[in-house]
Amino acid sequence: MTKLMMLFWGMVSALCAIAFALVTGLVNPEEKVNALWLVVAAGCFYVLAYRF
Amino acid sequence: MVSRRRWMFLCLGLPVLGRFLARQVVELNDERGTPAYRLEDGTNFYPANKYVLFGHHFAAIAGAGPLLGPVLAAQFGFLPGFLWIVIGAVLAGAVQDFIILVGSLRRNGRSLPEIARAEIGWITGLATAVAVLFIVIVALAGLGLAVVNALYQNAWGTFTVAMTIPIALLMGFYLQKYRPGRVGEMSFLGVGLLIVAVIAGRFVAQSDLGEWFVLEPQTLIWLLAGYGFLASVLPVWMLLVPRDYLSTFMKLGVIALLALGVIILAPDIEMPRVTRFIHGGGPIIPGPIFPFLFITIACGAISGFHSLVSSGTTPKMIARESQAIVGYGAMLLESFVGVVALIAAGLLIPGDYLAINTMLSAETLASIGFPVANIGELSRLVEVDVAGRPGGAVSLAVGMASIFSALPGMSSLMAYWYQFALLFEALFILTTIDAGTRVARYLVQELGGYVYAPLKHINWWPGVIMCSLFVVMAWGYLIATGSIATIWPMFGAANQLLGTLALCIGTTLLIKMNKAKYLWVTALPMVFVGIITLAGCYELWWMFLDRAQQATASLQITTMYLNAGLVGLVALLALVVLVESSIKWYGYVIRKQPFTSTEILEEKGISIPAGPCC
Repeated sequence: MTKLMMLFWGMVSALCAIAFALVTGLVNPEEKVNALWLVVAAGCFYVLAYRF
Repeated sequence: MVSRRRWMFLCLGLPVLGRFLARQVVELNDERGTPAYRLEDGTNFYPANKYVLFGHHFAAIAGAGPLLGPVLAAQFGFLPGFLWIVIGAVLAGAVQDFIILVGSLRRNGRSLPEIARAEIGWITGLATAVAVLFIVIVALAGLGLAVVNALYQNAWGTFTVAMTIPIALLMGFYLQKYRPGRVGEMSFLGVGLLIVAVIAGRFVAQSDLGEWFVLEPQTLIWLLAGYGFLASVLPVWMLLVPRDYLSTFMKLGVIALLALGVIILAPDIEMPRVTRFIHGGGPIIPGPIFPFLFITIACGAISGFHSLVSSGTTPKMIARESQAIVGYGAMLLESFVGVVALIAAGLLIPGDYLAINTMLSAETLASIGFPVANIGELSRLVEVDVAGRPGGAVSLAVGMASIFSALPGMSSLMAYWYQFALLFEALFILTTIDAGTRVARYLVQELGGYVYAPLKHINWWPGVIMCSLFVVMAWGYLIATGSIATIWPMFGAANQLLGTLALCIGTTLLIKMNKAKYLWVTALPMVFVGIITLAGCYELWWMFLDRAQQATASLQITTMYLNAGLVGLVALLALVVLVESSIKWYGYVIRKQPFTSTEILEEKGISIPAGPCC
């Protein structure tokens, strides 16, 4: 895996983690969740699971 | 390289992943031949393009199940359902689909009961066949009930859904007699006619003809049963094949549109993360979050039904072994469909969501803390009274319609989108009903053949009619006497039973591939799903007995005892299979007994015809 690819997958993982934190309410528990975060969390998780 | 990957697994806490399964666990190897070439016959066995293969497999596994289950489970709040769908699919569902696909691929595409019989023993083989029959019948009842609740007193929707039957027949004759092989033309024609049917439905409903399509639930159940019977005895090319094409295109198109709608509009979820119903007492699904969440959402997280497709049509179409990874990928996409359905339900105000999915009045809902907000407005917009239509189909259609009509230039078309969304769901469900009734009929004939030999002949007319009638009566009876609260958890429990069986068989296959060190890949999800099945059966058993004691009408008492008996049977089957497999595993792994694998050998067993799943 090249450095660039590692950076890319690292960013996908980070995005996945942020989206999960928002969806589960670890961050901003009082606010309503935007549906987009559910799509992002699920999408990143699937891509990571499929790729590795 | 490997060590870095291991490190990443640990980081993510995700030990079971696609490429790891393909390379380390089953070692997919393009040097091996596939049955698509070995047994090529042009109809069942033929090598397909990998995109066609993916499309076929996805369309066959993803029916109405992943659309309805997550909607019903939204009563617990959106978070539990979301986590179970996403994590369950990656760790359990996709693993099951993939392992069974590879197992069947290396056994000339044989079916799950055949593999069970050859690899574990005849008890497990028979138990698998009985479980398949049971799950098909209960699944048809659950899905049929959703259609009935969506269509009663809804002339527009009833007309549109009824029109899909002549459209499918027309497409069937077009492809078989008029222009053979022109699949593209036929599908274009079919989708065009469907859209015309949605638009024409409004005029029909408002005209004098309209009253013919205003039907009561009982009438609809009879019509549905009649349809299932016809579909089961007619040749496949007439009704089943064209329907399958229609729903595949609709499925891919509508899901893509819906995901796009969510991305463009980025709406807020109105449903709270968790509701107080996680402790039990919910109005839609009775009982606490464990085990009811896990049996309400089966399709989308892990669905045993998929193992029938994975050991059915798909392995016969794989050109190269490395393409078997579609089994993993298609499940992830189905799981995504489940997430989208959950979002569509979560966009509704919780009070409105409950008003649609229960029979409770607005006052009762307000008193339990979920005031109804704009159900009247919603009913006016879609031109149908949407309150009190449980089953998940209607609230999903309302959610979808509100997403679509919020897109630019679509605001006045909410009613059309609503009926379109209903049609989209009904199309899947009717496809499952005609294919499922046929599959169950074959199975009844196979099993009945042990008692009375002529039944085994698939084309012996008295047998065909009797067995079809038996199957149709069985699910028709369950719809007529049941409710979503009783049928849907039973369906989920049966589906998870089949999932346990499939993972059990998968574990045996891993041992026989000399991969016992990766046993946990299938063994851990098997233990989890097995516990869910048994816990679900235990809860349902007491629930049904309780209801039987409270019931006054004798029909209802009989039904509740029957339901209790059925879940008892599910639990018994699960235990039998787990015990027989455990004995075999102990022998193979601990006592190092020799074993044979049937990767090459041919053996007879119960085969199942192809068909899409829930």
